[in-house]
Amino acid sequence: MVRIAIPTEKGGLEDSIYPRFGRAPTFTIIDIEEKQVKNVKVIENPGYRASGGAGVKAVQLLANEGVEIVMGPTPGPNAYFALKNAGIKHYPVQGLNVREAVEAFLREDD
Amino acid sequence: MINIAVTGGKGGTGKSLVATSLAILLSKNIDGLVLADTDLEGPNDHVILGIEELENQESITLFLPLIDTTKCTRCGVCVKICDTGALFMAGRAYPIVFPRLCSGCKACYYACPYGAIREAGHVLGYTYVTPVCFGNGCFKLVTGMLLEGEEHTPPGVYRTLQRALELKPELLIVDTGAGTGNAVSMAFRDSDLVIVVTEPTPLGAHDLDSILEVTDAMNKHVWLIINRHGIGDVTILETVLHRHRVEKIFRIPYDKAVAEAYAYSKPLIIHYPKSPASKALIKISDELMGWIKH
Repeated sequence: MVRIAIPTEKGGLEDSIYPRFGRAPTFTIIDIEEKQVKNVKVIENPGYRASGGAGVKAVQLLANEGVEIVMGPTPGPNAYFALKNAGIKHYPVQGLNVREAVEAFLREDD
Repeated sequence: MINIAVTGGKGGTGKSLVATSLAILLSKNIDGLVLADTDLEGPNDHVILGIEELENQESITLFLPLIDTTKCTRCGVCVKICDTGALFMAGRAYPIVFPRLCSGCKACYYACPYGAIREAGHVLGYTYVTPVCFGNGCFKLVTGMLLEGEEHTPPGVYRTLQRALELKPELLIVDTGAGTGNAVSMAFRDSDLVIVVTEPTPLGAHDLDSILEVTDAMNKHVWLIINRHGIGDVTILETVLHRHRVEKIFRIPYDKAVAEAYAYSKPLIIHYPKSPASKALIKISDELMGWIKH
């Protein structure tokens, strides 16, 4: 199983990817098992309303959730460093919705 | 001690012109006057005063957590309590510190149940104390300055004010930065009188409304100075003033001498004492002297 997180506004497979990483209102978490979407959940991002350190707070949440891959816009320098430290991979994706991004990921994975 | 702040909301309305002029004028009658430049992101009172070099530099050092890995149990309490995202912990690894995000609040230090956080330091910027004399009037200029790229202005403002108070002033004039955030409200939190400088422009009116909301909420005595009076439409300020508490209103006329004084770093009040703007400033200073004695 692999767990993917994508920054979103309201969240869910049909939502589009939020253009900012640390300041996204929510993250949509997708569990992939045997090339299939097994589970989808939406979590609130504490970085959305944070006065500072939004990127790091977002990554902290994702690390606690056991996320292995993040797809979406390029994170800021602090979030980038935190992602690296947590061993979470980042795939730059933009202009797609969540479902399209996941489908692209499944194709790439072949 | 009497504490008077000069603020205004909008940048470039003439806060520093007013603060430096009042310091020069009042220092003729008051010994132990201190002017504190708390615009840490761009302090420039010394430039207006024609001071080439600031003196008596001291570091503004903030607390920075250092994780003692011999004591740390990786419980994650410090990460949870950190409000600025400066502590991060991946899985069961030791927490790591993002120094630039740390505001030095020490919450992690007090929260750690194992005493595993040690005190380290992070230099945020510097304070300076520079003696200034014009004729028989002398005062001390305290300047706070952030290092490039630093984000945490309020703790720097606090330390600049502390440095000014250490001089035990009889009269403290606090020149604040622009805006209405914590770095500004903290600068005039303890002021007995807040002088708000604005200009008759839409931007001036808009930001005046914001800063007066803050002074109202903080229950401050407010005097208003309308700088560059004569340009724009002064009636746009009136609608704002109806909503707030202002005790006195002064006007400084639009005056080319101000620009000339800036251009050569020569204080207006010294080099253009007969200019219309100087006359207005002298009147404000006289009123202040009366208020201080009262």
